[in-house]
Amino acid sequence: MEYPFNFFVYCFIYFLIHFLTYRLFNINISKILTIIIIFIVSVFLFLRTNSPDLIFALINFNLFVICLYILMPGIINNGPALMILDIIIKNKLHSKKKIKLLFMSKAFSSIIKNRLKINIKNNFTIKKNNKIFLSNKGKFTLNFFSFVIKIFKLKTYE
Amino acid sequence: MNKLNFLILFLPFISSFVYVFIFFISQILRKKRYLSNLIYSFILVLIIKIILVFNFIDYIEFKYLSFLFLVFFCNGFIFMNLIQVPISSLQVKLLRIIHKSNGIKESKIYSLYNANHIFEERLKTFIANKTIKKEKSLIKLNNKKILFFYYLIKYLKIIHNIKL
Repeated sequence: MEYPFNFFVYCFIYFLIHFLTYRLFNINISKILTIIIIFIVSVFLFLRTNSPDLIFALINFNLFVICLYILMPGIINNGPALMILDIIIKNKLHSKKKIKLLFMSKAFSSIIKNRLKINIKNNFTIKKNNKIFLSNKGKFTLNFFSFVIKIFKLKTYE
Repeated sequence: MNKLNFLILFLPFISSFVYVFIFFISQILRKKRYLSNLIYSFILVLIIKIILVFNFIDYIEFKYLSFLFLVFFCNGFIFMNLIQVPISSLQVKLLRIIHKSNGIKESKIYSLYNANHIFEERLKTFIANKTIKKEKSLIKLNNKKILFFYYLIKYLKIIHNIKL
């Protein structure tokens, strides 16, 4: 099959599997492990074949898988910016006080608790003696993002 | 794989690198406007790419054209998120708080950072990047382009059966 049609077919199949596993079993297959497996299979196919169409499709497909991996947390979790936008769009004209009230009623208890839970589940933090500590993975992630901030002179919420 | 295939293979990655470099330069020149720097750098590289491609349109097949643009879009999306995550991610913010205090109780985190802080931060950002505007005491949507992303995410949430 010629590129880009083979690429669209791979993406469609992957998205269908992803969608069905999420809807039916509540399992998110967009994980680091999936990216690694797909990459290894792609490298194997790359070495076995000499077809440029397949190589183009595999490179593009690997990038698509990474994009979906990045996109999924935004779909699964309700971000505060999206919540505020939702309130503003649904309620058209409102005062800051009213929007804040609606936001607090929606997000007050869940928003931080949920993210703390995700951090523990993904081994970024560890809970010991009722206290939360940063794990090595968490330290590495934080150092990496600090590096990105420093290089691109970004300003974070402080 | 012939020479042309090899060249096509690397071109979108080179243009992605150019995008990163232009963003880096624009950050030095206009530090406070990272979001517009991120978007306009992407558009600039895309326009340059389109001009270059149209100069060689007779020699480039459709599949090469698709590869050049699709890979560039994917790379652009990955880079935009790489920049956005350390700025606005709640998870990263919480990691920073935990790192600063070197072991902290959950209740202390809630007092240091809660929905109230998040609301103020996000609203300030929305006003700064002109997504919303304040008219007297009322808050109004100012940038209609954001609706595209809003409905896209909302639709993706609906098909995944996730409530907003």
